[in-house]
Amino acid sequence: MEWLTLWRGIKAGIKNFFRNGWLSVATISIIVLTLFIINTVFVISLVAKETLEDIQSKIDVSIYFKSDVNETQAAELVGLINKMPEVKEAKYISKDEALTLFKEKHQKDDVILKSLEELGNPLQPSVNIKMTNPGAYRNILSQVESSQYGNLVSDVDYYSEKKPVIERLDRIIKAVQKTGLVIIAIFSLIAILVTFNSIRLTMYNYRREVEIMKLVGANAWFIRLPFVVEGILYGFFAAWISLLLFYPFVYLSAPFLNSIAPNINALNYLKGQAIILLTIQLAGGIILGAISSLIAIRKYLKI
Amino acid sequence: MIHFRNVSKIYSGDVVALRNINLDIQHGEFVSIVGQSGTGKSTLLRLLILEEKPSAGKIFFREKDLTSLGHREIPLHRRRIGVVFQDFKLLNKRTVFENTSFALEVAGRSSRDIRRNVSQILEIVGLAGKSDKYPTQLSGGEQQRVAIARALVHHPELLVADEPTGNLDMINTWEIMELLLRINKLGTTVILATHNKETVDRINRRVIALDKGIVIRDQQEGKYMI
Repeated sequence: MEWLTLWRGIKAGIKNFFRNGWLSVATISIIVLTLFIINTVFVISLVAKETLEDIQSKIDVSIYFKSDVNETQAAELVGLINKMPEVKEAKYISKDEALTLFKEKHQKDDVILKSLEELGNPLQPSVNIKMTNPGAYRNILSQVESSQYGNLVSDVDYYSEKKPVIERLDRIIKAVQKTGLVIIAIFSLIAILVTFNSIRLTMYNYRREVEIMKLVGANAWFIRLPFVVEGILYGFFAAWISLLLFYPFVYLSAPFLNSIAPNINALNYLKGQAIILLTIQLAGGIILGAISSLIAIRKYLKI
Repeated sequence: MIHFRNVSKIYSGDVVALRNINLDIQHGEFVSIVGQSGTGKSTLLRLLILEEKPSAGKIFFREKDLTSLGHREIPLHRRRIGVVFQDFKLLNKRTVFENTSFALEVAGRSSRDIRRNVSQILEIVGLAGKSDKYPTQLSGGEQQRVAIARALVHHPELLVADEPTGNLDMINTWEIMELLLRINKLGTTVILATHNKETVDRINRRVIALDKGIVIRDQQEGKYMI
């Protein structure tokens, strides 16, 4: 394809875009609407996921040592656990510390405090572990149990208490992510169909022009190019407009989002991601427009 | 220049448009193809511009077998031919100039080249002062002149006209015919499909008569007889 043909095709595409004013506006509006819904679903699933992960990060697991464990051995094990990549924090709680914590927790309960005085310190030293990825607890625990320190462990509260909660949260997070993806996929499909259909409509308006182009010996690219350019322009404008509408929308709904997920600032997050988001939508819109045009015009290019 | 060899065209449903056509048209000829509606005149022209492919037989244009042309060669073939239709096929949103320059843009000619050729051809067809008008602002005869200008602006070797005067009154018809004759005189081969008896009889050129897809008469200096 020569430069002159390319230049003329681009010029004709831009001309058509403005000449078809209303059809262009209608097509862009619908693409904007679908992109907007995709963005909203994205933010909702983001907030949901972060909230759940926030809850999940508050869960910890304790490994209780046998009472006769000596401090050096315990410190060695804590060091070992801390070195594991998925561990966020592992903290040793000695027998005495455990007692202090316990007393603090039950300071209003005279019966318990009194019975403690009689019993001495019945608590075990323990190590409290927080992980970046809650799914890895099982793995860590089995590593500890099979290590040389395995015989120091008397009990782990994971299997009996924490495991079901962790696993349920994990399942919910995955479900939220999956649902978000499915909804985004559905609306992407709708966006594709709508764009495709609008471009086909334009093409129908231009069938006479295409017929004459063919008659005077235009090759396929000469005919296609203006429509591809038009499709690209649809995607280009729709991506900008949808994002320009979306940011104020998130800003206005920030109080509501904050009440659900106080730890996450969706607006700030989106501000940080603005360039990536714009790039993705521009690229998506442009590719979508171009491909729809290419497919839609095929019908009219047959001799 | 053009040779039809045992050409048949059968549309789906066994509708026979052309049956076993053999024709030779020399360079510089002015040929009228006559016959009633539905006798295959248009089909014959459509085969020449490759809007249709024959069901059987071969068509040669300048020694080249048109039936064997690939997808990429078809546009190139069409640039060697100019085509005019009964309904003009003009773009109403484009000016006379733009309608005409279309045929050159398609061929990738430079803007300067286009301007020069277009004004030249508009002069020839008698529309020199109307290049900024839109087709809807012109009379039927003028619109057909624009179509002829577009068909000729790239200097084709062959001009194919399918009922070019079908929508025009007597005076305009004759003006268009005179224009076609002048173009022919300048060296372009003209093939005209028509059922206008008067014009055919008056110009006294070769006449090929078709009936039910068969050539029933082929006469130099012929008359309209079916």
